[in-house]
Amino acid sequence: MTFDIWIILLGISAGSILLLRDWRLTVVLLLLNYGALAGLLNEQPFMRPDLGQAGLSSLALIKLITGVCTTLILAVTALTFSRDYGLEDLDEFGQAELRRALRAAARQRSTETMRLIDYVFPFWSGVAALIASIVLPIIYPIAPSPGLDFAWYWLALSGVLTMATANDVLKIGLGMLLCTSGIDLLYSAVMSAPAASGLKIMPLLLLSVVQILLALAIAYLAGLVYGRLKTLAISELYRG
Amino acid sequence: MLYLLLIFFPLSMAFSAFLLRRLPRLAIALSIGTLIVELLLAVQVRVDDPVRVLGVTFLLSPLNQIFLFLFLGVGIATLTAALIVPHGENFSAIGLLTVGQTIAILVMQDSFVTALVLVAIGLTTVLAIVDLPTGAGVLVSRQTLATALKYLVLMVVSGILLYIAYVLTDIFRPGELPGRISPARFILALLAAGFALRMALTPFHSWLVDLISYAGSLAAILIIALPAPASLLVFLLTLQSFPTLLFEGGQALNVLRIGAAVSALLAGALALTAITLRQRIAYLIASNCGIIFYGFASLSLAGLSGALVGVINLALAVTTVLISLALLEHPHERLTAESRNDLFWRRPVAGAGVLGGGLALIGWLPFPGGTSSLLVLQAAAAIHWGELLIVLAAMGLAALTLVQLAVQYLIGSRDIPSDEEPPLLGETELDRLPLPQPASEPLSSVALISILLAVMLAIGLFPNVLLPTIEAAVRSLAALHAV
Repeated sequence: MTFDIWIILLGISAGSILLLRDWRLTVVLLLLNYGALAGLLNEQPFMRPDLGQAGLSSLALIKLITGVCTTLILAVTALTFSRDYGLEDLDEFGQAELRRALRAAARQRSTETMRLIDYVFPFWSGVAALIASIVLPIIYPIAPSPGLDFAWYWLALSGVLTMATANDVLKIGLGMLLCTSGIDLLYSAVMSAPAASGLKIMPLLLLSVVQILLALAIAYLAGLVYGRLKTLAISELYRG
Repeated sequence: MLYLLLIFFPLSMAFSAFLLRRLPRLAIALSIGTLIVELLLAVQVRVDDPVRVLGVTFLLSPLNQIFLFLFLGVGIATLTAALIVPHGENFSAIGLLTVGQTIAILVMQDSFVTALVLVAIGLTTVLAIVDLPTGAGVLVSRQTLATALKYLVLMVVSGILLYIAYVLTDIFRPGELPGRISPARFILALLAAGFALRMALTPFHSWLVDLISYAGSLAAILIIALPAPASLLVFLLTLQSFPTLLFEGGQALNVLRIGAAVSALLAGALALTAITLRQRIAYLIASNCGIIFYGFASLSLAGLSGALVGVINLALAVTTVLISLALLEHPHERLTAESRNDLFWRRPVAGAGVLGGGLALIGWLPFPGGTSSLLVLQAAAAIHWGELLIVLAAMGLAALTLVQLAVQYLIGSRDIPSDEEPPLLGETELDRLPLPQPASEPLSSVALISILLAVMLAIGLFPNVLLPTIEAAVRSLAALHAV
């Protein structure tokens, strides 16, 4: 199995999303991940560079645009979390509930410290996923090349593990986006193989639309959770 | 072009309904009008007349035409109920988007596209869960937010499993690579897990229980009555498109069938031990889904016909039960419905709706659920008596749950007004407040529930109106001859 720069970038960005907790880093890493995915697809022999002299294929450009859109949606939402909307409609019970949530969130933030133990589970699950992503292309190859197989297995597994180990709503969304990127790569790689029926415009279009819709849904839910609990922590959703 | 119009007309009207969201009655009227126009369009579409657009085949089979009318009917009933009971600010827009996407599933004959549209439905309907009424002075509850998040994650995971399965089916060649584990089993496992999540089969049912417990009734109808039956049609399309899966699937089909029967049994047991009225109803729906899935996995004429009649029954029963439940709770909120035992006597028509819908869910004649149950039992009897016993036990548990539910919440002893207290010192008859009278049921809600019950009874009493079309569709399945 040979690894080129795009696969390494894809691996590092997905692995870092799994490990890191700060949304400022993970959202940037998501953009890097989409960029690497576009680069990886662009250099595949089944992709024709159909966009003039730049040597770019339209499919790779679509992936890049999708990535920019999803990242922008999540970043803009995260940047505007602190704003309050529709508070004028709230009754006094709702406003008291919000003040309580604000105090609880402030208390939680003041006691929050970076503990190494919080990273142990994501780290070792990431190691297990990495081993699985290296072994699976050998015992169960699906894509035309082992590199592509490794890339989609790693994206899907790291996405699932990001969802499983996530401590906040935004990170669950990042996990889902990694998974959808994985199946996007699988579809593009497998359907372009000679034995397959070929790439179709409609599924490709819908894949990109679904990823953007997913980013919108996550942004909306994250905004609602933050507006209600003043934190994105999932543990707060199940308290009381 | 009628196919595209069928899909994009409700989608475009959803934007108009969104703009009118601050005028809910106008938005609902517009949405109902849109669905009535859709019905007229649906009548114009020629069945079995394929059209190819952007590499995707559009086709409306006679079976899918039945489901098209069913979904439009459910949509109209739900939007009409929204005129009576409280609903979210964007309910009509989300309703139209959901109907448009469900119609897309019915007419598009491409597995990849339908899997993605199913995910898109999940992304749309999740908004209905957290949608609050216009100007509501309350916050979305934590449980509702958790429900929405859980639903979103599970629907995306389900979509990913289905998509991987469809990619694998495209490159799968039967008999290739002997000695290796057959990909057919892996693909069937992916498909089964994906559809089990969508159909809320136990142990993948938790989203359904949370949804019915914490989301609004009308939002729950949009999420259960439209996408769940559509999912089963997608599974049918999958087996129709890839019958080769069943040649190599072998024992995987037995596992699928037994798993579905056990799932129905477990859901029935959980329904019996559930605490609240809404939880019981949710488990009854999960149990019904298990039985439908069993009939489907039996891959026999009787089983598949039973499953298809079952999903028609599921859509109608869920709509009836949840609208009735919303009317029982309105305007006294959920606490009253949970804490009373004489709901049937207080609101006879809404109570009858819950009872009638419940009877349809447990597969009682003369509702269509009865026809479905008989066909599924016939399929189970043809396979193995052990499986027949499991299915019968699941149905028995569901029936017991409905009896328990009726006694606990619906037909308990009527409140008898206590003897009039003697007047206090200096109090006259004029000082006394009149005794509160239970609010009578609005005529519109009486009419709506009566129509829904009448439609279910009509289909149940005259199943031969639908059965020949369903059986013809099942007979045409290559999958049926593959096993």
